[in-house]
Amino acid sequence: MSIEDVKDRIVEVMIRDLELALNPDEVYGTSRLDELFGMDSIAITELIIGIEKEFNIRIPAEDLSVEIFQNLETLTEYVKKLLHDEATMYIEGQDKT
Amino acid sequence: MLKDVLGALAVAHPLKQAIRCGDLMLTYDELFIMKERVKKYFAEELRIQKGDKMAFHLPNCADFIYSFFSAAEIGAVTIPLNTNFKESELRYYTSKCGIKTIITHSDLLAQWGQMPLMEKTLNFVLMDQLEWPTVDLKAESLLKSNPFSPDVAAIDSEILYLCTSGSSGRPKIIPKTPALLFSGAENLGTALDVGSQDRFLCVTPFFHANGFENSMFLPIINGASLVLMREFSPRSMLDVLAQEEITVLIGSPFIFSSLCDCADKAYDFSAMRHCLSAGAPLPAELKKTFYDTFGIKVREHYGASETGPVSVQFQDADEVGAVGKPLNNVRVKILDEEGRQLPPDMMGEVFISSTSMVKGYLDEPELSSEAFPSGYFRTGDFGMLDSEGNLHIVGRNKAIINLAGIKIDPSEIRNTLLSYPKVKDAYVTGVKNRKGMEVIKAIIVAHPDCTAKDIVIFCRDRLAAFKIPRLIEFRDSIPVDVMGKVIRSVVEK
Repeated sequence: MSIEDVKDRIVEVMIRDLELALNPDEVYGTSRLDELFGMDSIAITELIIGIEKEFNIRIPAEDLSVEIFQNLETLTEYVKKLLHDEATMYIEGQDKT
Repeated sequence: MLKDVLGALAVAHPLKQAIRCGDLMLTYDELFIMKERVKKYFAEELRIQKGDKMAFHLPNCADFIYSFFSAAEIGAVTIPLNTNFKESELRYYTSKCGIKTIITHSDLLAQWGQMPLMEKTLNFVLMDQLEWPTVDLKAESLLKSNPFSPDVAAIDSEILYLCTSGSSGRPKIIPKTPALLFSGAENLGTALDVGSQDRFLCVTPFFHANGFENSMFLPIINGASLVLMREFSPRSMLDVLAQEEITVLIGSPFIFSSLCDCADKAYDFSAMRHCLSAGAPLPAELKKTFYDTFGIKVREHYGASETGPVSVQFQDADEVGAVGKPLNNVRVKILDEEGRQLPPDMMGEVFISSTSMVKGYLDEPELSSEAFPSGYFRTGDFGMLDSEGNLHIVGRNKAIINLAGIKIDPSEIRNTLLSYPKVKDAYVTGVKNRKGMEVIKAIIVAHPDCTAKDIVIFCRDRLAAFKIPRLIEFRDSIPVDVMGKVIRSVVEK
């Protein structure tokens, strides 16, 4: 999955799961996520659950930091890395069998 | 009285786990010793005296618990402040309550903006920066050398101010005494049969009445074990619930819904005795999903900051808003608009009286007499008592937004919006999202170049994140009636 695909799907999750009355362009054009909605623990939890379901991944609690949720790019890079790590683990697991 | 409790617990079971918070574990013995040390520090170093007001700007942590008992024994007033508050909100409560000392952690200091530098009369105490000697004494030996002294905090002196959202545009302060706290804990503790064998997971923030009274004070005075979560993370919480063999969980519909969303393996929750949901109506579908997922029934718990715990729905009921029979020492009556008491099964406004109810709000005689007529608290909720004495809550008549159990006054948000030069008029309300929970919606009349993003950025610096409207809709006007009152039925369409 390309980085652009990951970003598109995160924007979709944001609008759909947080029920934001924004269009995708407004989300793409933002420099910080806290310009789009109040970044309280409820919104962050909803966003994490939405991303986990969308990409079928688990975001470990110890990974959660302010830096990841700074902007769309940092969040996209984190999810992309997580997808890559999980894919690597899967391939390594396949090799062992 | 409070000193007797911790001292007695330390003597009765010194090695029993009192608190676990991440890697930190304190036994009741160590909790007592820490409380003694902090109390000495408060009294001798900070010169805290009876009646002094101390803000607790802390997450759920051990510092909060022993600092509260220390302050209470001195006779000082603890004022827990929401850790999401921004500078303007913190400044308001500091001034309103006459706070002089702020107990906090270094990672929360930035939220106070310039106040630590500019306000020379305020003393900021960073609990995480203080160093205490390693705990190496047993409480019993300390008690023998330092027997109980008469308590400074009388049973009826105010030791806690809870901050609550008001319906009239200004937040209210609810003063609590040890007598009220003990009474509330007894009323709920008896119903749940809480004892020292229990293990509570404390995820509801201690700056809320429900978190403070039911998740912290209640288990501590019963000698139970508390597992604290500084922040809410549903996946970590699922693991903690199983690993720590939690027996009591007090949460909100949002917490239970998030747990269901994150469950992706089998968990052993066989130790669980009570899962209570409070703060907002518990959707029937969520109740069912939680039971299907974990095999545990979530019980609806009803109460108010002003009254303490009111009821728990112990019987199985699919009906939303069935909150059970009033607890011991709690009376409920339903009145019509003319103030006449209604018979069973008739819908009206819910009034509560209980042994844990406050007499009124701090420095608000008029508001207090309106809210506490004839020894009852006017909840603002609509409901009925059925013929078996079960209370049913069906709605609210106060325009308060209920965000996952946090009550928010829409006029506070509206006033902030109106202070933005691009906004001409605004209306703020709560709307249900697709999960049946309330989110904040702002309907705004603004200059043509104003965007939703402008609104969020403006609010971001002035309001706690949870108060920023999730939905922002621009309209040409907000309809008002001949009296100038907003026509809710039209504007909320």
